[in-house]
Amino acid sequence: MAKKASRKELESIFYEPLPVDARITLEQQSHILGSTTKNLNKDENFLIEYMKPKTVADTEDLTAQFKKNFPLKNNKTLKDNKSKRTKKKLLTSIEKRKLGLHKLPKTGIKYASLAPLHQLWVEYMENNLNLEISASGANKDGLYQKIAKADYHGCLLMVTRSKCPSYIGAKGIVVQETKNTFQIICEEDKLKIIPKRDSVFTFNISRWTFTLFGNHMNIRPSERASRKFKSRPTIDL
Amino acid sequence: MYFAATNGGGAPYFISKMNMSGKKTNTSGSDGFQRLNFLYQASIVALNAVPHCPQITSVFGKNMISIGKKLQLKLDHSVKRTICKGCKVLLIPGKSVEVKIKPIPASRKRKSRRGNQRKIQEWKCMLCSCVKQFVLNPGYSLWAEQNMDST
Repeated sequence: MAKKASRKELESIFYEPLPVDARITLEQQSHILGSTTKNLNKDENFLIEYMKPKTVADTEDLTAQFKKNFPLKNNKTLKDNKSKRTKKKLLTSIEKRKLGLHKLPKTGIKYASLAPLHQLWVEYMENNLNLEISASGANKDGLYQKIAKADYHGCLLMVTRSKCPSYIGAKGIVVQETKNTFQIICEEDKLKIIPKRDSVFTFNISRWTFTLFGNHMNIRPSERASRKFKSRPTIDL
Repeated sequence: MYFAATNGGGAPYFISKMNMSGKKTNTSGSDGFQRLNFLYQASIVALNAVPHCPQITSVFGKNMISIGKKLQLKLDHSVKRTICKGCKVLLIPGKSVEVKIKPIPASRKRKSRRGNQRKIQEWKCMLCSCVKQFVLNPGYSLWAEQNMDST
């Protein structure tokens, strides 16, 4: 008895008459649809009824419009239109962009998790530069060449001077280096993209501080490895 | 064959020659090799640190390959095999690759040798689904690895 009563209650909830707003919209829709005899022309009928109050054309013109055949239009879906990959290994640039290989996500990489990467970078630089010997020597050209050719992924960079005041003071670990930018993860776990042009960067290794002039570093990191740097005049910011 | 992936990479080595007088001098191209070494270890560290974003390792992989091309340095087999050909991501079996053992496809079988039941180890990158295939041959070792053993 209790079960039957609950069932009836549920049914009454399901089969309640619809609220007033819903009923009005349904009536309007049925008015637009009109009486449809064939299921095949259902869409056409709907369109014609919809267009009637909006255009000056007759129904015959409208039906003729809809029956026009566009011979060049593909009947294939978008998936079929995609070109299949002919080479198994190489990716097209569209595919690369879809995988997100060029752009790193703006959130999601945490500053704290990159600490071991920075430590590895410091070890690499200490081994590479051999600072105790080279920093105190008279001829520092070799040292400067090495700094210019070194890799900066994992470096803790800080922007000290820049033409754009909002970049000044940005500090973080470098995750990606491109021809024109340094992409940095700052302490708020955000990805900042800082253009190299018209900016001066500094970084520390043990007790030495180094400055990089962004204007002179507008080169792809891989090409920097083989580049011979000549002294260039700088215009102060 | 694999570097200590769980270790997170040890300290990078540096190549140097010893002079007759005992002073250290740099060999040509040692800078480039140091950079490649650092990039490889950094990609391992990065994959361990940020496992949900393997695109960082693809940045390192791309740099490794382009530096190798510019400075004409060759990557060792054990390093090259762990870089995906399509997206240049670091491949670690289980983390970024699916490794399967499959029978050799019919197109590759030599018709003359019957009974050649070779199998293939297939590495399929989880990111870009590019495939690397290694033929499993128990008696075979690479030329470079052969020379190392004999010294």
